[in-house]
Amino acid sequence: MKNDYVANWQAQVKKGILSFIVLKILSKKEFYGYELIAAVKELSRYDIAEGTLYPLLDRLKQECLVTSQWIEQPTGLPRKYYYITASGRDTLEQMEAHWASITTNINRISGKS
Amino acid sequence: MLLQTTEAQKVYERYINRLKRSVSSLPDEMQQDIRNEISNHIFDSMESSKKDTELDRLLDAIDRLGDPEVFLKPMIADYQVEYATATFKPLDVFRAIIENLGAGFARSLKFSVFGILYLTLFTFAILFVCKIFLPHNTGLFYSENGFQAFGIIAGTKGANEVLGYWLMPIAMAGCVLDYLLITLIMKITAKRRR
Repeated sequence: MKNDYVANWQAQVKKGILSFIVLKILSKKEFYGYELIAAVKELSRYDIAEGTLYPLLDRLKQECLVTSQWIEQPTGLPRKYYYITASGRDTLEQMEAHWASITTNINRISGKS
Repeated sequence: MLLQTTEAQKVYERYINRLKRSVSSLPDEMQQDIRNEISNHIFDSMESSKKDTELDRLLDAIDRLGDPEVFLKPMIADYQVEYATATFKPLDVFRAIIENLGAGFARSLKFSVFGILYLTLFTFAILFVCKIFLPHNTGLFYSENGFQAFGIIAGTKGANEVLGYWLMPIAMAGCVLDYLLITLIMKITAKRRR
C-alpha cells in the first residue's frame, strides 16, 4: 500500500521532469531519437518505456521548444535529429530557476539551509 | 527493414503492423515519419544489444520500446484535437470530442444513440414482415382529417392506406440506413481501441 503510493508519486514527478531532462540534454548538442533516449535513460537512471519519449518530443515540437530534421547518413540510413530552439533555451532557463528554488525550499524544510 | 531470419522478420512485421494500426488516424506523411523513426530506433537498439541471436536482439529492442498502442496514445489524442479544430471537419470534430470526453459520458451517449438506432431497425423489420401477413392493417394511414397513423393498426375504418406495397422497399431502405449508421458510429468510436 505504502509502496504503491510512493510508486504513484514517483510516476507523477517523473512525468513532470522528463521534458526538463530532455531539454537539458538537447541544450548540449543535437541528438537523434535512439541516442537521445539512451542518454535520458543513462543520465536520469529512469527505467522508462523508450517509446514514450517520441510523443514527448512531438509535444515539445508543437510548443516550438525543439525542431527536428531528417539527415542523410554516410551509411545510407537517414536519421531524425532533434535541436533545441531559442524559445526552448528560454524555457529551460525558467525551468532551471524553478528547480533551484524547489531544491532550496526542500532543503530549508529539512533544516539543511 | 530486412532481417536475416524469417522468424525475426515475422516478429518485426507484426510489431510494425501494430504500429501502423495505432497511427492509422494520422495523416499519411506523419504516419510515414513515425514508422521510419521507430524502425530506425529498433535498428539502432538491436545494434547496441548484447544478446546473441538476431531474434533475441529484436525482442529486446521491442520490449524496451513498449506497446505502440500505449506509448503513442498521447500523441494521437493531441493531434486529433488540433487537426479537427484546424480543418473544421465535422466528422473529425465529432470523433475528437468523443475520444476526449470522459469515457463514462461518451459511452452513455454512444449507447443511447445505438439504442434508438437498433429500435428503429427492429421496427422497420417488423413492418416489413407484417405487410406480408396483414397488408390492410399495415402502412401509412390517412383519413379526411389528415394523418392517422404509420405502423400497424387494428381498425382501418375511415382511414386509407396510401403506401401500398411501397412500404416494403421503404422499410427495407430504413433497415439499411440504420445498419449503415450503426456501423459508421462503431467505426468512428472503435478506431483507437483495436
